[in-house]
Amino acid sequence: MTVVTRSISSVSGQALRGARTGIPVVAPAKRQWSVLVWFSYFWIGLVVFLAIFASVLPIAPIDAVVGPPRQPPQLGSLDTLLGTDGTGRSLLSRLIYGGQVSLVVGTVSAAGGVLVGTILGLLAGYFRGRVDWIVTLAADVLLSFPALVLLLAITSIFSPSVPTLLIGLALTSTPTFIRLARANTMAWSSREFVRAARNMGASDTRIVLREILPNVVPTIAAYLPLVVAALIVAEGSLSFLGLGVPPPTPSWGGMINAGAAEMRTSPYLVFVPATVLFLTVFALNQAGEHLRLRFDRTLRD
Amino acid sequence: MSSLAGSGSAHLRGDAAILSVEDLEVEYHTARGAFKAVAGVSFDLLPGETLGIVGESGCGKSTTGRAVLRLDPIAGGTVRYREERIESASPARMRELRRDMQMIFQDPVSSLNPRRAVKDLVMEGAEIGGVAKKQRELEAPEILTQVGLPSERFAEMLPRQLSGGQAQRVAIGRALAVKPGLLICDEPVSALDVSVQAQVLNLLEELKAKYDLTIVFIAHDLGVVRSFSDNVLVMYLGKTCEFGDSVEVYARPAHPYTRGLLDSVPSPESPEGFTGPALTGDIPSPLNPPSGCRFRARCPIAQDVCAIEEPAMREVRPGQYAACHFPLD
Repeated sequence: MTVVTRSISSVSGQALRGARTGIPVVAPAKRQWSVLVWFSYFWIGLVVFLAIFASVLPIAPIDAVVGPPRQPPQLGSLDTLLGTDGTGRSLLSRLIYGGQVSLVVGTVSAAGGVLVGTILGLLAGYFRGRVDWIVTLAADVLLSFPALVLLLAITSIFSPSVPTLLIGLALTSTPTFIRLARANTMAWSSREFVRAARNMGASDTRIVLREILPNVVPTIAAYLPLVVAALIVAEGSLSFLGLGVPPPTPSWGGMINAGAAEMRTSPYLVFVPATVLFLTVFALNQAGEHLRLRFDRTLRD
Repeated sequence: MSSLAGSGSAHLRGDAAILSVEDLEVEYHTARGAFKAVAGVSFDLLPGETLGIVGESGCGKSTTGRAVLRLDPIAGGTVRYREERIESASPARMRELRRDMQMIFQDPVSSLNPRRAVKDLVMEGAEIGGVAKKQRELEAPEILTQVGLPSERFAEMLPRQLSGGQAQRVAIGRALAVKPGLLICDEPVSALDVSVQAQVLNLLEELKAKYDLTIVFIAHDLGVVRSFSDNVLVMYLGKTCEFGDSVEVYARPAHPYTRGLLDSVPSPESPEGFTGPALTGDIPSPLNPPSGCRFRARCPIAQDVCAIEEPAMREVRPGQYAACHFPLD
């Protein structure tokens, strides 16, 4: 949408200036700095900053009771700014500390899933045949398990710990990326420029890395923030079952889950952490889109 | 003997040829069984010569071109390029050989990676060959100038900013940058506007003369082939119909199919709208080709023998060969 508007405005600008000087002038691409983008970078910076410096901030410890339970968000004290949870602990401080776990779990496990999924998807889509058969079968098997059952199985076989959790979550996100990468690879590798590259004597490695991968990455990158969000929530479900990060260490997903039981009487127990999660994912999307416009030449000019 | 019973290879000229294709077969495997898209095609090219391959859609002409580079698997027959046997070359050797045999594709936009700038696209061959970036930056403007794209304007452009003709020029530049011994043009102008077709053909003509290129020119447009080729090979349903000097073949076609193709060219002068009695019906399915001569179902002069015996290529007039039991005068 924005791209269309911009190109129209640049054309008219060019025509105006061209008419004045007699020389065609190409308008420089307008910078995309909307309020939303500003806010998104600010929000991501804020969340990361708070999570890193949580221990030196003047906020209550995560397990300290700061007031009566189930207080709604209120002005006054910093500790009760966002209200208190079912046992009277500060929601603000738990959100800030929870950011540590949630951000690490979301990004690291999604990164693992993207890495493994993209590699396998590229290989399957490019080489087809037996490789494709094995990879597709593995992806289908993983997909046919409900994600939660799969995570339960992993955490019950290996002792529940943060690395196990990361591996488990990465595994649940892998098949999605395999499918995405494989389908895109198949579409791109049938294009004639791949045939032309082979005809230049390019090796399979070169064709996959230089010709196909750059075309597959944008699709995957567009999907990535959504997966990060899903994984943050999935970690919460695991915490709820006692298989995630052990309490009292907070996480956003865990807080949403804990509040779900009291949704009817104290909805802000869910809404406060859910809003933070939503804003973070939204900001990741916006920032990702902005970075793509900034650095991807095929979308500009 | 069986190798000669098909389309035959009487028109081949032996060791002098730079490329020699004999009884080439390419098989496709579909859900309804395997079929031969190319069923015994033979042709050869002397150095510096241009061969046009014509035929209707689905006759196997593009498949033939790709099979020469082994971009489609060769199911039978032999392909000799200089002293090398293409059908049995090792994958590593094939990668080197392909650099010497370049191809230009029908869809110019699809044949360029959408994420590469024009200056990188034309130097792709050099990059794969291990030429340093600095050297490539120096050579790119030269190549672009040769194909009529001023470097200052086009070097940084992306494929989607180019018109079809400009994109095809980039593709031609990319192919010529590796200095190939053989150029295979697979319908290089079919996707372009008529005015642009002429420009691209002129460019090819110019480069052909300049570099003494040996070219296989695949097209369905008879006019384009006539102006561009020394010899012409007419294909029908995976088989060779006729081969000869392009002027001779166009002036006096010996095969009824060639006659039919020439007569099917639209003409405003004649009351029927065509130059002569146009071909009717569709090309039969290659999954179940007619017995004997594959063209007999649409042939105006077919006899009983045509259903029984497959005609071999034989010399009808000096230098003109046709695979027909009843060649035209």
